[in-house]
Amino acid sequence: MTHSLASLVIAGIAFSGSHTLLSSTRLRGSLRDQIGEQGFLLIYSLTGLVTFAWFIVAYARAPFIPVWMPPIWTAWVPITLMPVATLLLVSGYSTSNPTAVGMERSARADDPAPGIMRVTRHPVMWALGLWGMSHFVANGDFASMWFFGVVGALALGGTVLIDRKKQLALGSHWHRLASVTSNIPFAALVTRRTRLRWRDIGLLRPLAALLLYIVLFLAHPLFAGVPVMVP
Amino acid sequence: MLKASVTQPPAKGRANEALLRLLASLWQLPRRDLAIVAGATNRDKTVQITGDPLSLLAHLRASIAALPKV
Repeated sequence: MTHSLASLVIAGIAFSGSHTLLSSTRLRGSLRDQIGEQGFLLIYSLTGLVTFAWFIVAYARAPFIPVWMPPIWTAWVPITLMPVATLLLVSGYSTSNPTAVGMERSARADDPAPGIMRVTRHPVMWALGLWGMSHFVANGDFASMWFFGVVGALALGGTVLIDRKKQLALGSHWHRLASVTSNIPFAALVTRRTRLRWRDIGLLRPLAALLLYIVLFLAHPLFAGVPVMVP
Repeated sequence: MLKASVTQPPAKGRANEALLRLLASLWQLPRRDLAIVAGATNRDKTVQITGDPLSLLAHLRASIAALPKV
């Protein structure tokens, strides 16, 4: 049963390593020069999908090895943070975002940061980061800590790497975007650099996010194998 | 029959969850492969283990043989 643990560790390194290497090193430029932007994006997406699927399967098969005993209250961390994560996920995928792959053009729009972008300029990354970090806190076994720790760290570390790349790619448009947005959720709102317009976010997105949350909550025993523990 | 004890209180499924985690860590199995199929509110419980019967049987036999006899 120990080989399945090794597979989990290697899958995590393959997933996070390939994602970082392809997106944020010189490898990206040289690949793009050889096979073009579309070819690069195809390889990048496929590598991400395959290694992430491997990571998930390895996690599902990994033995339960306790590292520590999280107190029961830690179950509340994902229960409270996941509604925020689903709203960021749903809104992030349905809002034009200059920091997303292939969407640099929207930085030139009249409003470079509509809707959820005023909460954070990396809504999807923060959704994945909150998912990873909140579940990292609530699980004390090695496999869960490794899986959720890698996912959370990759997503949140990714926001910093993306910012660095977009700063170079967008030039003056970057400064316009950065002045009215923040990486850390709500920071631009708290420092009054922007205002939240609920009309932009609308009613449909929060409803869809709530529905997704309820489905994930109820179906948790089916895909995770354990119920969401309510203290 | 195996005898096991946990420190979690028998409320809201906590003791059951603790038992399954104890067995999963003892047998080096995924927590999701274990489930209590009978006796959830009883002291005597039936635990179902999902997996390949042959390799599981050999694995569990070796593990159980190493346990002290009561």
